Amino acid sequence: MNFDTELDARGLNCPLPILHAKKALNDLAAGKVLKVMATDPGAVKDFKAFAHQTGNELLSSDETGGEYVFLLRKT
Amino acid sequence: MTAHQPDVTREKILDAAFQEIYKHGFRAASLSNILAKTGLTKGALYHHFPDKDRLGHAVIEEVVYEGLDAMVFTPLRESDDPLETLREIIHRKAEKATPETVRLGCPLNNLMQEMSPLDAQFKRRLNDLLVAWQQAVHDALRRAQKEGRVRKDVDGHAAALFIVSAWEGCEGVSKNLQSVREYRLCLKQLDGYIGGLLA
Repeated sequence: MNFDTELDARGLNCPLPILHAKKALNDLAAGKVLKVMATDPGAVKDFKAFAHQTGNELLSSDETGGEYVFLLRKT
Repeated sequence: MTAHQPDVTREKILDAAFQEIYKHGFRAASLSNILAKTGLTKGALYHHFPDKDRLGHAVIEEVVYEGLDAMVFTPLRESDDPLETLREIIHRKAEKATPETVRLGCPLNNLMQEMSPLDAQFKRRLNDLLVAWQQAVHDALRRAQKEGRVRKDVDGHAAALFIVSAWEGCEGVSKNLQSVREYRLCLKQLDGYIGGLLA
C-alpha cells in the first residue's frame, strides 16, 4: 500500500514509537498516510488504541520476523 | 529538512538517553553509549544538554511525561467513559507485558526509586509527574461520579492515590519477582478494585 511519510521506530521501546508517530501525524495533512516500522511487540496494541483514541485510521498492522509495520491515515 | 535538523538531533539524543536510562538506571547510564548509538560527537550532545542531569530532566519531561500523557492522561481526558478507558489501559498493560518489560520495569518507577532520595531536582520533576497522573485519574473518577457511574461515597482523591500507587506497586514488585504472570495477576486485582467503585 502507498504511504506519504515513513517513520523508523525500530529498536525503540514504549512510549517512543507512539510519541514519534504522534509528532509525524501532526505534520501530515488530512488523508495522508504514515508508515511506521517498529520492533516493540507492545506497539501492536498501542497503535490500535492510539488510532481508536485519536480518530486516525489504522489501515493495517503487519508483522514479519519480529518487525511490525503500521499504516495510519491522518483524519 | 535543514531547519528541523536541531530538533532531529535533540530527539535522537533523547531516544538514546531514554533507552540507556531505562536499561541501566540514571547513574549507570553511559554518555559514551548514548553517543555511540546516535553517532554524535560530545560537542553536539553538550550543545543540546549542558550536563547529564539536564539530559535526565529532559528525558523525564519530554519522554516519560509525554508518554504518560499520550497513553494515559489524554485518553482519560477525552473519553466519554473515563473509567472504562482506565480499565482498558490497565488491561492493555497486562496483555502486552513480556519477560523483557517486566525485567526492565516502569521507567518512572525506576527513576523514582533510584533518584528521588538522592536529588531534589529529580524528585521535584518525578513528583510533578506523579501528581499529574493522580490528577488525571482523580478527574476521571470525578467525571464518572458526576455521571452516576461511580458510587457517591467514593473519595476520589484517596481512590486515585491508591490506583496510581497500586499500579506502580505492581510494576515494582513484578520487576523483582521477574514474573509476567504475577504482574498480570496484580493488575487484575487493581481492575477488581476499580470495578468495585462502580455505582
